[in-house]
Amino acid sequence: MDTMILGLPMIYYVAMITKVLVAFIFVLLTVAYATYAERKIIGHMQVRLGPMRTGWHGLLQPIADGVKLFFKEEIIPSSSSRFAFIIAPLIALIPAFITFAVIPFGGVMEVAGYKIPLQIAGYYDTVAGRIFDVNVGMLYILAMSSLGVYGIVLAGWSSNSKYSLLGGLRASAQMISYELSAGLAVVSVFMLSGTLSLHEIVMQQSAFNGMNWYIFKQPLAFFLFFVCSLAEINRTPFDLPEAESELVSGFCTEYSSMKYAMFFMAEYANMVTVCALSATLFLGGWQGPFADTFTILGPLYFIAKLYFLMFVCIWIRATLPRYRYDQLMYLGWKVLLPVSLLNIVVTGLVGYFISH
Amino acid sequence: MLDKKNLIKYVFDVYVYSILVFFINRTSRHTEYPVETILAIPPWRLQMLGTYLPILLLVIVAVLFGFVTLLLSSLIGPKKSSRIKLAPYECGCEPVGTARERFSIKFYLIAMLFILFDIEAVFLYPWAILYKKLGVFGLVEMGVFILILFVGYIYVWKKGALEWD
Repeated sequence: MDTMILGLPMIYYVAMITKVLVAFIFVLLTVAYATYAERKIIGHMQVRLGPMRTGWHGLLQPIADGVKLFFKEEIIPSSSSRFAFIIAPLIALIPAFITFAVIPFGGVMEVAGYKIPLQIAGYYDTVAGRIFDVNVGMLYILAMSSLGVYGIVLAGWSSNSKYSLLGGLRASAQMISYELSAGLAVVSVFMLSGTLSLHEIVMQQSAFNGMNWYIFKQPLAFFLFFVCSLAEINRTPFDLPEAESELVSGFCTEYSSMKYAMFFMAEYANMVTVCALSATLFLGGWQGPFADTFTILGPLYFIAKLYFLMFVCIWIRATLPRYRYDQLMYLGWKVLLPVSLLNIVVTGLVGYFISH
Repeated sequence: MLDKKNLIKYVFDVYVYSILVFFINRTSRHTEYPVETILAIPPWRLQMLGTYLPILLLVIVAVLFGFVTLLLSSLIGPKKSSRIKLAPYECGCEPVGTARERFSIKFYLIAMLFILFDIEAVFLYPWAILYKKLGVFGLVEMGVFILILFVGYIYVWKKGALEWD
């Protein structure tokens, strides 16, 4: 285990491969079962049962859906731009899955005397004696999450169908509008943390037994970020790009089979990322009582916070009706944008007067 | 003497030298490393490798997953296409005209405004990181910056660029 490759010990590579595979499979399973949970929870909220036939209380439903979609015919419309049409679901899916890399999901695990931080893009440097992770982790997330819009616009344009084009255009305008407010909302967190590294941000919330969360200092920023993220990933009440009552299915009208499923996987994977990011920035990430002493508690706290926020997303879907497009633009540009700017100014002033 | 040929050589030397100085400064900033380690392998390179290699691996896994899924579904699924089936969807009617028509100028306007305000956000990030260190100077500077942008925002609002009807 003492072999060094490119200056890093062998166990680093073993840990890296394990972490990547475990996290990828975790996101994949969460995505699959988020669809089931959504149908089940909304069903019960509407006094229905939801899926019941496949397996015990419909537990095998996501697998049945996946198998069904594999056996469906792939239709590529004759008037579509073939290459862009095929590549669009990939462009939507891949950024959605790789965004998870910088989010820390646990503390430091010790295996065979070598410390492994539970974060994909991080490692423990034995010479420096501390954890290094991507020092611009938040920028990485913002960059990757804005790549997803290309997939949707490309899908809408390349289908060469009126519904798709309208859905794609709506999606692009909506996503960039709300990305702006989301990007401004997190600035106030960076003013408190002084770093973009997500590992550092989590560590700074560790006081009071891991309960010194940024949501207590920045409740407005959390609210803004969560609302804008919902709009950015096209969740209800902002699901206008695929408003099924007016646009058939929006940008994915012409898609079928697994390509259609990939857009939905991307949407749910984005939901996982956004909820994980909200938990990391505002709810203390994996921090919680006794998480420092018992390493296993870290991932458990993280998953609990993640699933709670995902439940809130589903809950919102069951509760709120869809916005009209002009209302959506009004909210994004005339309410959320000035409020997030104001939040930065207020944070700056209050922070200055507290420290002096 | 500095003739044309020598001048180019001189400029090139200065250029290479400045790059070297830049990297030496960058390396020596990591004071927690002993000198031998810095000489053996630059820490920033190690750090970049250690943190970005897993991301590369995840990208590879995600790309493979995407391509394999697409390939499998195109292999397994039935293929019985017809001219009508491959026509774009239009509620069961024959498609009328083309889909690539002109669309509302509003979308273009939103994209332009987005670029403006997104650049503002980009300027805010480095300031937010150094906010505590910059003190009152940074606060006033950024206040002026935000104020100018806010004037622009009010102008855009009053011009009706944010209206949607």
